[in-house]
Amino acid sequence: MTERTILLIEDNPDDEALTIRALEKNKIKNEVFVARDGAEALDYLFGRAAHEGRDVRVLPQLVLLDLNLPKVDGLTVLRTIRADERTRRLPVVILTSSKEDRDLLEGYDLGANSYVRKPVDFTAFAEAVRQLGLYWLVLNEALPPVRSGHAP
Amino acid sequence: MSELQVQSFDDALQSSKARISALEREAVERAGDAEEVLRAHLERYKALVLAIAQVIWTHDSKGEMAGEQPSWAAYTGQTPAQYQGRGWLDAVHPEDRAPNTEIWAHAVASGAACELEHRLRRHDGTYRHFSVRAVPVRAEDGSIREWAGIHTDITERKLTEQTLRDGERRFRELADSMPQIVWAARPDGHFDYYNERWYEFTGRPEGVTGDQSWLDVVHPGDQKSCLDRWRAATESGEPYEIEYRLKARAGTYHWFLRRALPVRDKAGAITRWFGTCTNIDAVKRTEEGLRRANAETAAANRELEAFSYSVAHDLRTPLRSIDGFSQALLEDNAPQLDDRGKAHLARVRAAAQRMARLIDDLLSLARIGRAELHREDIDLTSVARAIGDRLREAYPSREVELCVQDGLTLEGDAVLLGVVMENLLGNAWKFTSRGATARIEVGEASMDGQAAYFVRDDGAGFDMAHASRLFVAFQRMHTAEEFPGTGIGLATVQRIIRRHGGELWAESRVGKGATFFFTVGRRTHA
Repeated sequence: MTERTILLIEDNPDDEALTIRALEKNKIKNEVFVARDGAEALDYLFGRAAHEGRDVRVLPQLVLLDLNLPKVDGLTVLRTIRADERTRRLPVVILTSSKEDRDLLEGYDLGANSYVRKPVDFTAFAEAVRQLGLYWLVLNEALPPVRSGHAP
Repeated sequence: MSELQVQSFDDALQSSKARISALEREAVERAGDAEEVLRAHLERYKALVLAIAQVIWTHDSKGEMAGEQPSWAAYTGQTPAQYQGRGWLDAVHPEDRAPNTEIWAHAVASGAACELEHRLRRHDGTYRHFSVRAVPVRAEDGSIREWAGIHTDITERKLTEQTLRDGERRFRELADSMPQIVWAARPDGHFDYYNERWYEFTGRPEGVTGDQSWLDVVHPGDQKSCLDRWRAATESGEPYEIEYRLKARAGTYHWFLRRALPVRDKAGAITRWFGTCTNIDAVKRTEEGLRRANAETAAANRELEAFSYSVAHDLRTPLRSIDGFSQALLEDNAPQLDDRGKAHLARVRAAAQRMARLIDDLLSLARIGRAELHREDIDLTSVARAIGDRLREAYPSREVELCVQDGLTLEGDAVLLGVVMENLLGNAWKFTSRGATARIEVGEASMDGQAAYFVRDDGAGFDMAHASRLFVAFQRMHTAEEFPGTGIGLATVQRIIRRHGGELWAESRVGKGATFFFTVGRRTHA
């Protein structure tokens, strides 16, 4: 069985490095695709622009979504994912610095599966990533992979 | 003349004499009948004169009363001797005599029918109002034989008129004494009355009413709505209110509140519209000012929120890098680092984490200012004991005796007052940490008749000389080495208590512990 991809949508290279470090530290071997803004994330998911030709039926196993993003903001990315038939069941975990009530409420309203605030303390952050990985990649029953239309 | 002629003349004479005698006899008989008829007519006339409600009389051609005047005599009580000639004038009210005499003299002189009014004294001495009509009775040759007249009692009509006039006068006095503009209109919407205020305010010529009298003093921006509402009201008969601007005589526009009310008769039909226009310019301008201030506050709040948001988001992000990469250095490059280097990195991490806490505390302080206050009854005893339990769990090595008075209740926002108790108890817990044992007390005391709640500890205390800095953000009584903290806790408590309309104060002596008191404004004492 091939490990499926984690889509990390994160514009800050430090946070990206720290998140990947935390994943590695916790022995999470999934391939990580990093989208550095909301538009790129959507292009990746829907096989557009630079990602034209990507088999869009292959969905990431988990999306880690920052909210404050260039071009298309995180909540819009989430809204778009939930509005599209192909991606609406995708597990999306909001991973952000904000704990503003309105972000929390809107995030859940738009159908986020979880909302995690990135702790400043790296030890705590690594622990959060460990638990997320354990839950979403191991414990949680993943979506069945989409098969080609004519398969039995 | 011949004999024969004389004879025939005699004959003729004789026969004529006989015929004359017969005629004479007949005439005498007829005269008796006529007298009879005349007497009957006279009787009937007298009866009618007395039966009729009006006073009926005749004057001679010179305008003087003559002969028998039964109607006049019956009403005025004057005897024939008294009313003869010009004596009848005695029964006319003295004030009305002179003008009446003049009109009457003119009528008699010109021979034209006349009408006049005067007060006539009744036989019981009371005066009543009469309308008088006199017409000349002419002989065959056109000369005036006499005057016939009729007095009609109009006292009731006069009284009604007077009452109406009094009512009208009272209405005008009332309307003119009001500070508001008062107007009236016909059911068809035609304005036919304004009180003095209208003319004073608009500077329109006194007394001008009508459809053209008002629209051009209404602000051009309000004319359409004003006219539409008025037309709709006159059609539907519904009262209404409208706010609009009227032009003062100086040319400036002022806001008015116009109210219109229909007056209906017993059948429900509108007989009149009455209304007022109240100058609400000052209120309007205050409202306008408030609205502007509110908009500014809202804008400031939005800005603050945006600022808080970026503080929360953007200031934390580099802190995470500082902490994360320090940790990475510690992990990845441990062999290259001596203990000193590791200690430095630990300090870097501690500082980053401390700053993150500061940011979080600042944000919650800002949030308290914005949060809505929901007052409800709170069981303070349970709240304090629950916090105590949590503190004991978090610091199992501490030996703290927590005494919470039973039955402490107050009214306030449960979430915010929870924050207050957490801070006060947390402080008490912290500042007693130097002693081997500690005692923390939570209770109620009466301060100037008002219930005050207190949290008392036997810890480090502070110098009251610095008490004024106690509740200012980032101001600390102790160094971070002595007691850790961000210096925002008591500022937060202060803000919450102020939002409740209450007071917060403290009493302390260095080394003798501290007591923090607070009230929550409105008190529901059981």
